[in-house]
Amino acid sequence: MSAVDGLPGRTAARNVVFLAALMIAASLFLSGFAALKVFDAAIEPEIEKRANLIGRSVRGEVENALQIGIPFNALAGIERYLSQVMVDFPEVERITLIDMNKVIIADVSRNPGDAPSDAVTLDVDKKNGNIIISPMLSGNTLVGEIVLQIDKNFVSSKMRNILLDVFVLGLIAVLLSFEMVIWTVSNTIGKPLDRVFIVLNEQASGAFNHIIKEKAAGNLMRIARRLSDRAHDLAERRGATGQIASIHKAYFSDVRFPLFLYSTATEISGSFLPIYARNSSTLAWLSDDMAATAPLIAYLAAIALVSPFSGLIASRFGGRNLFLFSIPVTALTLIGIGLGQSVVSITLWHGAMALVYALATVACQEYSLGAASKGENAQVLGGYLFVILGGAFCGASLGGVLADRIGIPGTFFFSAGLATFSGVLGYFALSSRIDRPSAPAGAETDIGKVVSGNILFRPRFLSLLAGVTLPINVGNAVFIWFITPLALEAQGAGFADIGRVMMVYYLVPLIVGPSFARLADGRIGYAPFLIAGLAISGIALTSLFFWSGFWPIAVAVAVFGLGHSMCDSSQYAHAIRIAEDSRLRNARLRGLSALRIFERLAAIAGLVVAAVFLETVGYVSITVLIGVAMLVGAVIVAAAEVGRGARNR
Amino acid sequence: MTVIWRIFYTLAAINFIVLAVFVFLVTIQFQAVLSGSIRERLAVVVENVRDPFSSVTEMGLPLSSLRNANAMLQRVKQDDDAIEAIHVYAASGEILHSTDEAKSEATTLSVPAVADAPGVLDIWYREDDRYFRAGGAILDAADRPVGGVSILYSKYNALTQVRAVAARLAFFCGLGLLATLLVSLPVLQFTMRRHVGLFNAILEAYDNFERRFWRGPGGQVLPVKAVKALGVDTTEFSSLLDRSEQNYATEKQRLAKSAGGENERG
Repeated sequence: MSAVDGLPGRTAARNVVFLAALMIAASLFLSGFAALKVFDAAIEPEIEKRANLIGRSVRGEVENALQIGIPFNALAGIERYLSQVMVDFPEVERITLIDMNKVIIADVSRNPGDAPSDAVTLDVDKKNGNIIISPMLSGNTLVGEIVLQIDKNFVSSKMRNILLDVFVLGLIAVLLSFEMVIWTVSNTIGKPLDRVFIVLNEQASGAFNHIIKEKAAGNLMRIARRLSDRAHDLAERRGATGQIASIHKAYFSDVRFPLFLYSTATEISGSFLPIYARNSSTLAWLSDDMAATAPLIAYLAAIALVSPFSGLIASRFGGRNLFLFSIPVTALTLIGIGLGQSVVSITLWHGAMALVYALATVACQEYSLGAASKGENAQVLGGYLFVILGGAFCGASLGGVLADRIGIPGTFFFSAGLATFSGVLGYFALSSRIDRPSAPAGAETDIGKVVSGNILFRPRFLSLLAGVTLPINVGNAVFIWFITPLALEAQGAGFADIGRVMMVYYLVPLIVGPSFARLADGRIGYAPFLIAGLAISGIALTSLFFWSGFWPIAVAVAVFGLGHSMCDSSQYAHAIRIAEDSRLRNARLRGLSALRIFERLAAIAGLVVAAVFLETVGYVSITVLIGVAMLVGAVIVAAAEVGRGARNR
Repeated sequence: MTVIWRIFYTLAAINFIVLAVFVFLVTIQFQAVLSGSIRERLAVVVENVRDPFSSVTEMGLPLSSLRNANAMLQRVKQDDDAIEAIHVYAASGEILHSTDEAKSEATTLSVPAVADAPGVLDIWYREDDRYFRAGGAILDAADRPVGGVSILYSKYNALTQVRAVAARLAFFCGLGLLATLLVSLPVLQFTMRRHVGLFNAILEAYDNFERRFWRGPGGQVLPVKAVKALGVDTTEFSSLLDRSEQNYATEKQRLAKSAGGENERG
């Protein structure tokens, strides 16, 4: 009945998340509208003060000229002076000097195409409230007026800069609500239903060994009480009360919310880590660029180091124990990064964080796979990646906002607290026992005789590594992390624009990933999905040979994200499929470990090679080369699958 | 039903947090815009104040020689209530002209040594909890700093404006939150109707089972409402309940018999 866990929880969360998104969008829209009005009203006195100051300044200059005897209608260079005032005060639309007969002496406008002001249009504008008039004196005689036309929306338009932040905030809130609704619905509906049906099925087949804790039964408490009482009663009659146990079962929904918060905590520095490291660098022998990339390389190297063993460690200690062990260490390393006064300590602490991050995430991945029903691997892995990416997206966005407000050390301390909180949730939510329908032992007995050999030397597995893992991970590390920021900066984009383009890369898999995973698990299958994903990503990158600029790069990033999300969960599910088909001992464990380490090694190698050759060949050539590698990868995977089909026939 | 209220509270809490962060962001942005605007305005005031003094020093005359300097400074001060004091000081830091005749410590704190100014032609700008401070150097004909102008500007009005913005926004966001919550509750009930319906049908099927149980043989058997939703079938649930109850009764009888047999043997 594990589908019961997934089905009501996911269906409800999917339905409710639309409501949550609508609700958040509606309240943000209403509040945004109110904020614009409040902002406009509140800034009004300041705008008036500015306008009065401009009026006084211009009047002072003109009156000084009049006092030394220059006639009002012969003020040389006045228009140049007025133009300078408009440079100093961008909200001034027009400055006009008129004499007592309403004759225009000087007129400077921000829009040169405007018709010259005359007395009639000035009178109309006065009624609009955007006009400030100051009289001018020569001695005790009134000689004319200065008419200032102010764009009152100019200052309040600065408020609109925040709307993009609000949009990001809304996306974070929707992701958070999605995870929280899944958590709530799963605990209130999915798990109670599942537990009741498991015990009911057992009892209907004559086994009375399990009870359901009342708290775990939600609204089905009455049913749970009766079923448990039967088991208690029979155990007492047999005199074997020690033989009954509470029903324990792992659910993917157990791990989702803790993992989401953990991912948010560990990715909190996504938007500022290179800057933090570069600014903390005091070493003469280390260039600023190397200092900026040092924590990233340490991160990848640490993950590559621990990847071969992480699967084994997770199997040895159990997903729950490993995740809970990782929490205090992660919190400690985050505090260490926050306290880090030098690039060396930041790099070391970040590398240490990557070690435990790798263990914690693999622990959650193993837990998720253990909770998955057979044939749902890609969906669970897709869901797992969705949670990781969602957390990364939230962490990077939240980190930027927090670092601006409370400083970088404070942001890391906050993330340490968040990681600890995720551990507390994990302590209560994760099951210590995992029913593992798709575990290696089960899988191997299902498929019959176990044969000897190593999965790593199987051509189909090698084709997956060479055709999918290598180009996709090189593309991710080199194109997304390294080249995109540099190329966009070269196009004149600011940090905010670069951040938004990067955000699209994370958003695409969040939106389409779960549907793709269902399609890959279902009718389409993993291999065609991988081939299509590689082809799409490859075309996106090679297309940069034909067009360039900010928007082409942004489109390439989005399309690459689309192709990448087709490959990401499918490659793991495909690796499991290859392992199961191979009937080799420990094939799944070895295969997944090899895949994880190969991912990191490919990324590191790609980054190093790209850094060495970037200056000589340029970013377009490197990007196109990676694109071509992806297209070749698609051919390799297709050939491997065709070869396998031919052998099977 | 519990699940609806739990989801409702979850959504309400998230929406509240989002709006609280929104109010915070907008207030911070307003504060930044207001500070920036005041800073630009003070830069112009500093320019306006130092221009007549620069005219004097460029002719080689000392700063103290400008007639009616204090009156001129008072006139500028009267243009804006928030200006607390304007000082014109010599290169040594000695205040030569000031709107604050007492030259109280609070206002003279705004006078920096000329050497501290970031650049002789730049307008410097500082900010603390209570005041904005702005100023600029006054140069002689050889572009050497011979003194400077310093303005102390109260933050009181600006802070009041910022607090007013925060309070108004919080009020409007509260109204928005209330409105969206009121609308979302029935929508949530509609969205969750299948889940709630399934739970109610299961509980109803269980009630029927219990009723049959206590009425015993011969009692009227109420039909089970067949609901199939979200992978669960209430008919299957009822049949499982019946089968498990039969197994339970059989097991009890078996245990009773084996216990009886043991007693007899005993």
